[in-house]
Amino acid sequence: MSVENAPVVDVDEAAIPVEKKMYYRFESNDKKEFRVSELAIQQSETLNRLVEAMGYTSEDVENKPAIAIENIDGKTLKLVFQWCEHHKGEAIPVDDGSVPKIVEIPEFDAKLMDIDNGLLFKLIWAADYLNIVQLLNVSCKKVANMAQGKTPAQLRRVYLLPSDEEDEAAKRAAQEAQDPRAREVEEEFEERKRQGGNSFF
Amino acid sequence: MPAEILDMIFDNIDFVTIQIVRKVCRHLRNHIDHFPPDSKLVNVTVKRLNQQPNLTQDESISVMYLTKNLQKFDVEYQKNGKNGCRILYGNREKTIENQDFASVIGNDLGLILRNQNSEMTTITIYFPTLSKLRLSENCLETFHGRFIAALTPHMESRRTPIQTKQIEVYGTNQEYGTNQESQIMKILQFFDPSSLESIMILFDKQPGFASPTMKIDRLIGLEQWKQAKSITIHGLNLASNIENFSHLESFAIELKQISGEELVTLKEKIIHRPSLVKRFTINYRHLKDPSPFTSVFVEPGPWEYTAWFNVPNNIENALRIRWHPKQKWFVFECRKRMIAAQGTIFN
Repeated sequence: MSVENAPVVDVDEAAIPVEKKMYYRFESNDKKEFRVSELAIQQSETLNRLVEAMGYTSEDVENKPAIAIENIDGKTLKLVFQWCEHHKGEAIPVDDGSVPKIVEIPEFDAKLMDIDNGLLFKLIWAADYLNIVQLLNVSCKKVANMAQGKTPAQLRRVYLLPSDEEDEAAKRAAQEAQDPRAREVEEEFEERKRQGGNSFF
Repeated sequence: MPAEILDMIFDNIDFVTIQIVRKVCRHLRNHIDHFPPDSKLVNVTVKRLNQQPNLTQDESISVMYLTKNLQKFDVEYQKNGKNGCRILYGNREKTIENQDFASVIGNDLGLILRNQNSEMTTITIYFPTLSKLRLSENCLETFHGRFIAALTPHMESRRTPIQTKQIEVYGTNQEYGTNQESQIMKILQFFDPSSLESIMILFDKQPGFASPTMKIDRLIGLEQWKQAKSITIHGLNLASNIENFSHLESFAIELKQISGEELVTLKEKIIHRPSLVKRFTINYRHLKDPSPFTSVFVEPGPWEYTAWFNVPNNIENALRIRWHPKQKWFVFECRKRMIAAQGTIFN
């Protein structure tokens, strides 16, 4: 199934599926709404527990407000639910340390994660927050693969991270609050980090 | 990024890349140093490289790493000038000035072993030949001293000692065998005694020369020694009592001297111990008062003598001892009684 064909849809973009399967409605922190099948939700331990605790009927789903996921934006949540729908029904891996964990990235996941680093890190964060084990596995593997064969300088460029010297300089600059130029340096540094959107390290 | 996620990412990164990531920034370095990602090694071999142009065999060392998923990393270190080191890894090459060659190797190996959390299969360390000067084993003028000095702080910084099933130490130094005990002790102390099953100390034997004598008074006090199942020491003549080896499942050693009385005691211990011995091989230089023991060897073979002994409460197996007086060795083995020649007397 391609990313485009995955059945995660924004409510205003597609019709409600005709199958009589149980669906739930979720809302991102930027008020984007998603309908997600019950089976897909099982990939997320957090959401699965949440809907179980709520005990919604099909009518409740329609009549009550969508379940708010306040920490995740619509762009990221769309990717998360696309992934869950594609992998619905699949066994959730259990890592008990008994066998070495070998993670392979399926073609669908590779395409789904063909995104900028900022969004990729948000996806990882969301997979962790929603406890989606296999999505977390593949997204961490993707970041790991990005590091292979690179020098420290190349890695700094990929992740927009400061070197020790730049880090020191920024700290010094922050301390020299009286000096307008020092403030500028600090602001530049912070802006660079913000623009990169992926200074999660 | 939360620490758990960093750990998951690092779990997918090989140990070489981890070392590179460590250099990216302070935050990553702190995380890696405080929560070391497993290097996932199964074998490490530190080996001399021969036939390098313009270098002696002690000036070119290879460190080979094999990981659980069978990735192989081979790093070559060459002495470069008086005080420099050339490092070759894959198609990369790096020259470090004003840093001692042996210390660079010890430091690199230490950084990687510091992060080794899972149990390894084998660590192999080839000791380079010492210089002709009579130097102390601690002396930083030797390759060894500097290698161990650079490796030790990393190993001591670990929360637990490294787990490996086997350690192999190879050497060529014939002249100063007595110094080897300290060097071997230093290496052994890095490893978890409860994991270490086999210790192999193998020194080249030069034809026509007797093996140098090594005292093992301190070595036998190590937990690593006491808990090992198998010990092989080749090319070093041990000044020790055979009693110090009787707890093992198997051993192969060369003793400076052994007496008939000691051999009788060993035989009694073997047949009365709860588990069967696999194979004890004892080469000796001097056999003192052999008669209490050798009188039982009533079946002379063409070159060697054999004697069989009953093992109490064991109808299937017996102890077979072979003795070659000319080549000066004994082999004790628990074997099936059925393999004994017809008419064999079981003592």
